[in-house]
Formats: sequence, structure tokens, C-alpha cells
Amino acid sequence: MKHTLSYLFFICFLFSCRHDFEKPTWDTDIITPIAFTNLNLSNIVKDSIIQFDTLSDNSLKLIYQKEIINYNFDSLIHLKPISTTKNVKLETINFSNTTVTHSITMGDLISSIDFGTILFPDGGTAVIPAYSDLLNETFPIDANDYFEEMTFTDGYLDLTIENGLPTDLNNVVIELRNEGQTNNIITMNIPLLPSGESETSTESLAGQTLFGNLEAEIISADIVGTAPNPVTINYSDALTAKIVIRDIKLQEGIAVFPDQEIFDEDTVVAFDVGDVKLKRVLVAEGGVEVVGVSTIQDTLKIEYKIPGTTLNGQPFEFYFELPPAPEGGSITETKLFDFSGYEIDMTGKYGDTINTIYTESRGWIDSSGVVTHISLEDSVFNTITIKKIIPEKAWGYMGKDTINESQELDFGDFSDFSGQFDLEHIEVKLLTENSIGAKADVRINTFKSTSDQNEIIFNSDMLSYPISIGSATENPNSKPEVTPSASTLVFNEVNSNIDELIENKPHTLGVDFELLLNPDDNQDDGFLFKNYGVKSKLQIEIPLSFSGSNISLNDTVDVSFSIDNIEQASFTLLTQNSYPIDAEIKMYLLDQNNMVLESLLSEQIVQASEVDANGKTISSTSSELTFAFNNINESLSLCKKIAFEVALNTQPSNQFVTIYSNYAMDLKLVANFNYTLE
Amino acid sequence: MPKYFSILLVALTLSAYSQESSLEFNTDIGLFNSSINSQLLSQSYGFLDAKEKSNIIDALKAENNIAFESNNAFLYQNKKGWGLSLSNHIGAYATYSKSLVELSLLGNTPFKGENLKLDPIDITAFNYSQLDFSYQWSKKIQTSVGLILGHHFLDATVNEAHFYTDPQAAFINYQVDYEAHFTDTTDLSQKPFSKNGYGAVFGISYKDSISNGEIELSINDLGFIGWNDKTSNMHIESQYEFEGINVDDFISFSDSIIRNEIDSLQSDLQINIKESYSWQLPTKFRLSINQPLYNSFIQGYSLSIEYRINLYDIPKLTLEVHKKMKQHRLALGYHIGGFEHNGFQFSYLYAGEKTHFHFYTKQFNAGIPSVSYGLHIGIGIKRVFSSS
Repeated sequence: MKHTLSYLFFICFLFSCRHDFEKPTWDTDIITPIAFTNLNLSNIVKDSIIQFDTLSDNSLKLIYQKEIINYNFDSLIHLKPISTTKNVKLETINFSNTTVTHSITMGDLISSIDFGTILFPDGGTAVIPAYSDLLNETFPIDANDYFEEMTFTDGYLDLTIENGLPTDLNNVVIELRNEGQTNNIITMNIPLLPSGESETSTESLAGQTLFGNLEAEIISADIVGTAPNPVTINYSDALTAKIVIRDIKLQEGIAVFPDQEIFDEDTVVAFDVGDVKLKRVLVAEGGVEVVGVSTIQDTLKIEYKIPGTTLNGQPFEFYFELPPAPEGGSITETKLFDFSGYEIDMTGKYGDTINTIYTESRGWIDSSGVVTHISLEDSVFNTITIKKIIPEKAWGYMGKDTINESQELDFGDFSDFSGQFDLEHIEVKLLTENSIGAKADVRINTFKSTSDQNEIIFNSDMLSYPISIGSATENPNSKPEVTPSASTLVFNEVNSNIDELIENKPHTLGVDFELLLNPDDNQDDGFLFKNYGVKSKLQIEIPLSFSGSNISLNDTVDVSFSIDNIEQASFTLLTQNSYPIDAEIKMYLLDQNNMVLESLLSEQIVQASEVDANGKTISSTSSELTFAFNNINESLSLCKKIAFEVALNTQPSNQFVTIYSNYAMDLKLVANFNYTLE
Repeated sequence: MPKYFSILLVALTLSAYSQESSLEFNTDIGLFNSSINSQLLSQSYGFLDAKEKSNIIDALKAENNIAFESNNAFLYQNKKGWGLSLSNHIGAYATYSKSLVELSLLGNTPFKGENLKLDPIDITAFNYSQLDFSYQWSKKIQTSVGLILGHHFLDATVNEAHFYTDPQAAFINYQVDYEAHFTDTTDLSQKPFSKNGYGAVFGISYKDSISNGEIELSINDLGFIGWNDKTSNMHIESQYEFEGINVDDFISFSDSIIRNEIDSLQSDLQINIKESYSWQLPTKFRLSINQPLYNSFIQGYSLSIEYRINLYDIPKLTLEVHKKMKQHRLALGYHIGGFEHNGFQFSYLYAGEKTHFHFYTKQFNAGIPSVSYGLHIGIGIKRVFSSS
């Protein structure tokens, strides 16, 4: 038992003496491929302006394009704004005649006689006796439907008394005046007014003021009677007073503004565009602005048309209303009507002009029937402006124009090379395209290449003369809408010093040129479309047959790494190279400030392929380059960029090597690192 | 007399035929390792240098095991021969290859140009509770039948796994064929006894006298657990060769491209189907022979051979000698085979009139680190109510 207990105690002691647990960690050696790629020239040089072409012997030709001239003449045919103004005053406004009538019927008269309706029933027959002073009365004449007040500079008032009664009247005296006033406007004295007849008296209204409330007083009117003859009694028979106000020339008034045409005009708007002769324009931007100012207290209506401006066959027109002005004030309205997208016929109403737009404008007032204040000072001021027209397309003669320009073009694609190279052949084409419907001449005055070391001026007899290019061709309703006219000049090392310009490894190309539109005097019709102009580009074709040493390619790329627990690492670059070019590769890890964190250098190089006597590859060569890190953890964690520096040497070094389309370089990046596991 | 005591001792140890009513509680827990002893294990904390890694690798065999077991049981035995027990069993068994450890510790650089065979890799882990009813039909035969509530389960087998690194590391490839089934583990820590499956189990034992001793044959844990339809089932056959990422623009590469590739591989290797799965319990077959010895120092010995399906590659052979001192019984044994490393085992039993106390260990080497390949302890307490 004692021994048993001792043993048990020992076991417990053993369990209690646990090792302080520390999580185990260890280093492992990991080697793994990271990435691979196949490089050929088409993916080494990822640039839309560099291409490669394969020649008949499968060798490659580098084709490099650079645009040196790109000019359009959009500003040539901007049509400046033009305004027309119409100012109409009230003095020219016509008022129509105003007619007011008042009647005294037979029924009215008989009703005023005692037992009249019994003695003289309607429809009956009776002898009308003579009466005196039966018609004496004052009755109102209401003209407020037409005016409340009118002061005339000129006009006439016709007072007509028409006897519709079945009996003659005599000693008729009638006075007409403004209600409540004593001075008469007109007085009529008619000794005898037979039944069925009328008498008219006219009075000038010049300098007079009439009010809408008039009154007429029958001072005297005796009924002659019909004795001994009975007559039919018709209560609707009447004695009628008719007042006609005519030939109105208003100075001021409060009246119903009559229907009135304010203006109705056809206008031809002519644009000054120098020697350009436009016949038709498709509008990119443009419109008509109407500014109306009025003191008339009624609505002014304006209609504007440009018949020769259409969209889908529909002419451009608009309708605009200028509201009534406030009393004692004026109203101003501005509206803009856009005609972008419309096509304008610039040849006028009859198609016999150029640079013109034919317009129709009309302004009028429809009487509202509302009585308003009217004054001779009232006026309508109307300005219609055709805004600046920027054409999308224009047809006609585009005129002559000369452009002189100098440009410095970035040519850095070749300046990234350092080292020496000699090109066996080179051909440079100057391709000029004219997308304008007009002839053009391009004269290159100066063409030079500038590097850090040299400036070389281009020499060739071919540039002694301007490059003449014909007019482009329009393709209506099809794509592309313009077929440019082209011209090509070919320069090589025989007819120029173009090879020296390229071998100079310039960082810029300088071009001084002159562009002439319609250089001759033929004034042929053509066209000009927006964003279409004249372009010239250099197309450099270099058969890849060259010899070079220490040609240095440099590039910097952005990278991002987040790697932990890595110690002691190296990269191995496995290559299979079929280019007859060896390469020394250096990599520099840079931080965000472009400071070098670590330099990755290898003692090995990418070996050139094995070649035959003609420099053509017969077998590719494998190489293994090792790049060791000194401090991978810190370097990769801070690394934001990797700068690559590749030095190329053609092999054999003393002969031209030709690059064929099937040449490529397989690259595989392998990482070998010490990784700490936990 | 010593003969019968020996027989009784064995019988008590085995808890087979009972002539008494009793209630007992047994618990045991153990961690087993077939290759790495405690001494080496104690050196394997913190940073492992090259020598320590080498020591670990040298200690390994082609196939190695590591296991954990925990068993707890309440047992009521009636003198009329029937018994009822409630138990919980947790087990985790893993087999791994030496190549796998080498690759993990050293990385793949030392194995360039070598096709590493990483299989076999097997993992079986389970946690289930069991309610058994047993009956002693006769002196010779006892059977038990039980119901199982499964809590958690994992069974993964890598049938084939190869890993190869090109001598220039131009490519790496692997080939893997594995199968795995596992229950939902999202609630593993919060609900260790969640209901994820149901099963049944059967056991039988036959005892008979031979010569002066006794022979017993038993089959236990003959049964299955049907895990529910949330069980993940994977059967992956995959072959992949990695030669780096093909980058069109070689110099626009970043490590995120690698990570994306790894994520893509991971998803391919983790495709699984949720459906029920039926798992056969690791049935235990046991044959034991107990013989008395007419010796004043050792009263008897027993030889047993035990095999567990899907766990043991080779059966476990145990030889035990027994000593009785009044109410105290001691047994010292040695086992080979099975899942753990060869080693000594020890048992102590105090058999009082009413109370029995049992203490035992299958890793009696634990006190000597250089030969200690695990830890194990078992305790049993039994209260006898009456005997026939």
C-alpha cells in the first residue's frame, strides 16, 4: 500500500510538472513557381501605336506610327448671331367703326297713352291721330361694350334717325351728348321725317372726348297722324337712332383693343463668313431668341418661321405670346427656341443666294373683348435674334484658309533606349489624310529630332514641294460618312537622312507646317464636317535586322505585396530564349518615394539563342538567373514599385541579327524562401 | 483458493458475470502516441531548430498514430443478472505518415525531384453517449444491447496523396484522393452533447473454463450510428499541377494573384454534400485467457488479444501478471500492437466488502520520459449492495 501510494503520488507529480506550453514554430524551405509568361515582341511592346508585321521570310518588321498633324477647320464656319428689331407704336393701330343703336317702338309710344293699348291694339287697324310732344324724352345710349372713354385726334360721328313708325313725324329735334353733360356732341333738326325714311347728320370728333355713357334727348317730335286712313298697328315698329363712330384716330382712351396686326414681315438674314459660300448647314448648336417688350394691356401674339430650316421635313417655327402689360407699366419676355439638329437652307427664299436665311415673322393682337387703357404712347418692341450657329456639317464652298503651326511631339517610346544600335534598313512614310470636302496643301517647313545629345534636321528633296491632297468624298447615308483623300510620301536612308533622325533616339520631334485650304481659285463646292480635318502621321517601318550593344530598356511598375513570416528568400528566373539577344536583368525595389530598398542582381544573364551563320536561331537557350534578397521582409513590405533595367546585346556582336515572328522568350519566376510556420 | 481469487480478480476487472447487486462508476482518460516519446515532445515547444526537427523525423515510422480517449460510465448490476449502464465515449484517432511530417517541418525544397507519398492519413473522432441493458443468461453467456445518442463525429481518410516538386521548381503537382464525413461543428464548444445522430449497439461475451483457467471471448461495440442529414460528406479526387500564374502582363503581378489561386484550390477541395451518414462503430473483438499460477509472488496471469475494427492495424496483445494481497489486487502487464506504442500497464484494485476501488493505467511508462509514449489514467468506484 505504501509503495502504491508513493507511485501514485509520483504520477500526480508528473502530471503537475507540465512544461510551460510555448506554441511550436519552425522554419520551412519552400520553393514554388510564382508566375510564367511567354514574351514575344507583340507583348513586350504593348502600345497601340506600335505594331509588327511579318515579312515573306517570317522576319518581323516594326511598324511605329506617330501623328504629327491633326487639324480641323471647325471654327472656319461659325455663324455669328444676328438680330432684327421691330418697334410698333399705337399711332399706327386701326380701330374699327363702332355702331350703337337705340329704338323707341310703337308699343312704347302707345303704352304711354291713356287707354292706348285698348284704342290701338297690336295688330289692329286704326287711324293714328296727330300728337305733339309724345316722343319727348331722354334715353341713354350705352357704348361701354366698345369704350368707356375715348379722346379723338380725328374721327366722325354719324347720327341717323330712321322713322319706322307708320306715321310721319315733323319738327323733330334731337340732341346727342355725353351723359350728364350739357354741351351737345351733335344736334339734329328735321322739319319732316316721313314714315319709312331716315335722316343722317355727321359731326367731326376731332379734339372731342366721348364716354361710353351717352344720352340722346328728343327735344321735340310731333306725330303727324294718319287720318283719315287707318293703318295697321304693329307694336314692333320703331323710331331708331343709330350712332356710328368711324375713322377713329385715338389719342387716348379706355376701350376694347381691337384685333390688330402689329407686324408681318419677311426678312433675309445674311451671315458674314468671309469668302465661304454656304449653301446648306446642319446645326450642331443654334437657336432663336425672342425678346418682347410691350406697354399694351393686351396679349401680343408672335409667330416666327424659317421655312428653309427643317427637321425630318418639318420647318422650324414657333409661336410666342407676350402677356398684357400692367397698367402704367410694361412687360418683357425672353424665350429661346433651339434648332439644334435642324438643317438650314442657306440659299434664301428662291434658292439663289448664299450665306442667308429667309425668315417670316408676324405679330398680332386678337381682341380679348376686355376694355383696357389705350394710349398713343403704347408700343411694342420686338427683337428676334438668331443665336450663334455652330454647324455640325456645312456644304458649299469653304473658302481659302491658311494655317501656320509649330508642334513639339513627345517621342519618348524610343528615348527609353540607351546604348547603341545600328539599323540596317528603315522606311518612313508620311501619310496625309484630308477629310474635308476641299482641296488642301500641306507644306512641312521644318522637321527635326531632338535628343539629350543632338538635334538633327530632316533633309529630303521630297519636302521641297507642298503635299497636295484632293477633296474628301462624302458618303451620304452610309458609314463611314466621309472617305478621306490620302497622300503618301516614302522616305528611306537613300532619299533622306531619316535613319539618322531615328538612330538619334529623340525624346521629341519638332514639326513646323503650313496648311492651305482650297489653294487654287476654282471655288468648287465641297463640305466641312465637324471634327473632320487634315491629319498627317509618320509611319516608321523598321525591318528588325539590327546590331546593338548595351541597349538598355527601363520600366517601372507598381506592385503590392503583403507577405509575412518570410526570411531568406531568392527569386530564380528560368528562361528559354529563342532571340539572338542576351539580356542582363537588374531589378530595384523602390518605396513610395522611389528610394531604392533593395537591388536584385544576378551573376547570370539570359543567354542568347544559338544561331547559324546567317544569324538565324537554330535552337533556344535555357538560362537560370538567381536574385537573392538581403532583407525580404522589410523590402517587400515597403516596396511599392519595381524598376526593371534590361541591357540587351545582339549576338554575335559583329553582325546584324534578324528577328523572326516565331521568336519568343519563356519566362518563369520561381521563389525560394524560408517561411516560418506556427 | 488463489485460483478462485485470480478468477474473481479477472472477472471483476472485466465486469462480466455478476453475482451481486452493485453500482459503479468508471472513468478513464488517455493520450497515446505511437512514435514520439515524452522526452522528445518536451523538446518540441517554442522554436524548433534543425536538430530538433531531425530528432522528430528520426523518431517517426512510416505510419504513426496519435490518439485520445475519454470514457465515463455508470453501471448498475443486479444480482439477478441484469444490468443497466449509462456511458459517454470520446475518442480521437489519427494516423499520419512520416512523409507528411517531413514536408511540414522541412518544406518542399529538400524534396525537389522526389515524389512524396503522403498517405495514409486517417482521422476518426467521435463523441457519443450510450444506454445499455445487459443480461447474464448463464454463467457463460452475457449479452448487452444499447441505444446510442451521437453528439459529434469526424471520419476522414486519405486514400492516396502524392506531392511532387520539379527539380528546378518549374512546377509542383499533387494528387489526392480522400473521403471525409463530419457532423456540424458550429456548436461544438457551446453544445458538446448536441443530438446529431442515433444508433444501436450490441455486445456479447462467452466465458468458459479451460484447464485450470478461463477463456473469454467477447464482442463489444457491434453497432452503428446514423448521423443526421446535416452531416457533411466529401469525396474528393483531385490532381493539380501548379506552374505559376500565367500573367499576360508579366510585370503587373502581385501576390493577390497567388492568393486568389489558392482560394480557388481550397474551394475545389472543400466541396461537400450535406446528407445523413451511417457509421459503423469500431467493434472490439477480444479473446482472453486467464490462468492461475501457484506461486506465492504471482497468483496468476492473463493473456489477451484485442482487435478494433478500423482503428487497429494490428491486434493488441497484452500479457498481465496478477498479485493478490488480502483485499488488494495488483496487475502488471505489457502490451504490444493496437493503436499505441508498446508499453507497460498497471492496475490496482481494492475490493472491500462493500466498496471496491480501481485505479489503472495503460501507460505505466509515463514516469520515464524516454519510454513514455502517452498518458493514461482510469479510476473506478463500485458500491456493492448485496451478493447472492
